[in-house]
Amino acid sequence: MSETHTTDRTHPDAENPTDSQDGTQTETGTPADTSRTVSIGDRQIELAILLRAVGLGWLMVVGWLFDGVVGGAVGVAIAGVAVVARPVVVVGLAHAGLLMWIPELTTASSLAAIGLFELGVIAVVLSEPPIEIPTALLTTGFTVVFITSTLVVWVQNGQVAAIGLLLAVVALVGYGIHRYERGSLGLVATETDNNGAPE
Amino acid sequence: MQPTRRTWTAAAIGAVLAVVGPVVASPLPVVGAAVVFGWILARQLVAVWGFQATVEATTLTVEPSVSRLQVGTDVPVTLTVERPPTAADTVLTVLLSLPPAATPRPERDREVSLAVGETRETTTVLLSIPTAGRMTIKEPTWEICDTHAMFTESFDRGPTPTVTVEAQTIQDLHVGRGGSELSAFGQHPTEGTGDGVTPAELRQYLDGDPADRIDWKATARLSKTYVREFEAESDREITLIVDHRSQMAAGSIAETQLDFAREVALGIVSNAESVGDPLGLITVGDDGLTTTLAATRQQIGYARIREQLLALEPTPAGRPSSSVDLQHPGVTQRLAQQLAGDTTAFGQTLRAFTETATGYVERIETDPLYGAVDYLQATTNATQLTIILTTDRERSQLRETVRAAASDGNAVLVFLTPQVLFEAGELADLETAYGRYREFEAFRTELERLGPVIAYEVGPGDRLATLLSSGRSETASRAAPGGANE
Repeated sequence: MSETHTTDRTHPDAENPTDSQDGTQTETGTPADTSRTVSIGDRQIELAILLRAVGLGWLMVVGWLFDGVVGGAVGVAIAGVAVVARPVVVVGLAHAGLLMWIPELTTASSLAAIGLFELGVIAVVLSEPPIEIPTALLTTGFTVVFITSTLVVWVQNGQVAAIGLLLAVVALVGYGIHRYERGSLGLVATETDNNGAPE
Repeated sequence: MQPTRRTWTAAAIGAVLAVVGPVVASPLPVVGAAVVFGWILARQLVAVWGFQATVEATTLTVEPSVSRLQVGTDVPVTLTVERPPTAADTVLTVLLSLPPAATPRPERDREVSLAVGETRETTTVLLSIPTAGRMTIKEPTWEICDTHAMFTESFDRGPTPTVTVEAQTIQDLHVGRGGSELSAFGQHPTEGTGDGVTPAELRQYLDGDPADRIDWKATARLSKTYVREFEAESDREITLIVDHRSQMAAGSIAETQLDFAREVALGIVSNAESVGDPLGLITVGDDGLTTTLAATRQQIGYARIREQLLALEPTPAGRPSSSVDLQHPGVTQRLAQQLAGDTTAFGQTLRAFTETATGYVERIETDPLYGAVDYLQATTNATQLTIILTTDRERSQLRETVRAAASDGNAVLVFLTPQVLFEAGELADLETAYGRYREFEAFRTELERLGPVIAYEVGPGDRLATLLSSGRSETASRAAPGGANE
């Protein structure tokens, strides 16, 4: 028995459909969000690369400003890791490096250093393409709230309480978003739908 | 919503940072954890918005090219997924589900996948179902992934079209009269006369015809007794009486008499459905009626009749008796009972007739096909078009059955599967077979004289052609000088 399988795919930017050897007719284009570029002089640079470079450069500058050569060296090391690792891995390593030149949070300058350092970290973590404005805003918002609340609890109630609070809040918000998604997509089964079995 | 491995990796990095904080007695790693967790939650929320936009704006269609197909044939099913560019920021994969009875197809052949930015994709899958029945194509399975491949969601949603798979079509079906092919069967009654379902014509008087139907003017003019049939069109019910007794099992494995009768019946059902005629069904097994479906115009009613027809098999030996009670008036039987004690010469003379008649009535009473007609007339008052699909094996019983069906002006169509066309090896002796076919033809025409009756022959066209060809050769050889019979 012969079998026919044809596929027709259309991208809004595509102009010329192509026929492949297996009978697949495809119209495709490069996904729009992954190719955001900015012009610097005559050159087109991807926004993600630019954002990551700016973030890593910022980390090096902040490190040099607050801890001299050692801080700058840490910044360079972080940039070196960023070449081969995902941004989220870089974030982890960057905070390990931060321990080296800000061992304690006792002065206003150290708090300022952390604040400036975290700006670079956020820039790096957001540089994972595709870059989206809502993601950037939400990340910044969540981060500010989490850092602030964690540090306050850390100072007032101790380490365990601060970490427990952070993990509990993250779990709660994550589950809440999950339930919101299930409800908004109509995937929450009613008792009638599944004979009373809970979802 | 399920996190991907990528998300779990990020969450693990955040958890390690959170745990390292107390170990090194510094909140700095915890600050890093807050950044990571904030980023994950932000991505989760944005993914949810993307999923919502995709689900709300995406149009999904599942279209079988036909809703009715034959067993063993392929039907293309087209799956089309379309979404506007504003909802194209997710990766969407839709998998077409197949009915459980369908021949399996690899998943890659029955799924469409839209990458970020793609708005439309269509795929066509050949659906092949090896068994008859009504099949539902289940809801397609959606799988959505956000732009960062961090969260996915999957669920079943979409149209569930049904396809009806009918038994194998007889490839060489002949329906006609006297060897002449009928162009179509199951036609709707028309205004004209002729080979329609409501003949309005003069015909010769037959024993049993009521005297008030004799056309005296025609009788005087033609010197023979004629009766007139009247056109009596109305919104009448059509009832199919399908014989599936064990005697309908003759023929090759895939092309028994019942298979041919079924094919004709399915054609009639389709025709009735297309013009909206009320249609009922009675099926007859060895021991009685096996199905009685009242006449209906509803689509589900036609579908039920079709399903019953497709499920019919020749009755096996030893089948339990039907629960339907068959009754027959037995007027002659009562007369015989009244004459039982009569010793006069008149009584004895009459009893000689009733003894034969009593046996005749009992024979009919025990005939399920006759019982089907009896049941039909007892359960409906509407004007009927009765369509009987059976064989000519028991001709005398069939004759009475048709006569009963044609009473009260009801039109009757009889579709006969001639025994001679189905018996194994019968055509080895063509001369004998042709003789038997002529007997059948005489019987068929006799049925047509019983009233508003049209009788058709149904059988394999190639065998009939062979038979008729043999008959023509025989006739030609007889006509030629020095022929075989001279």
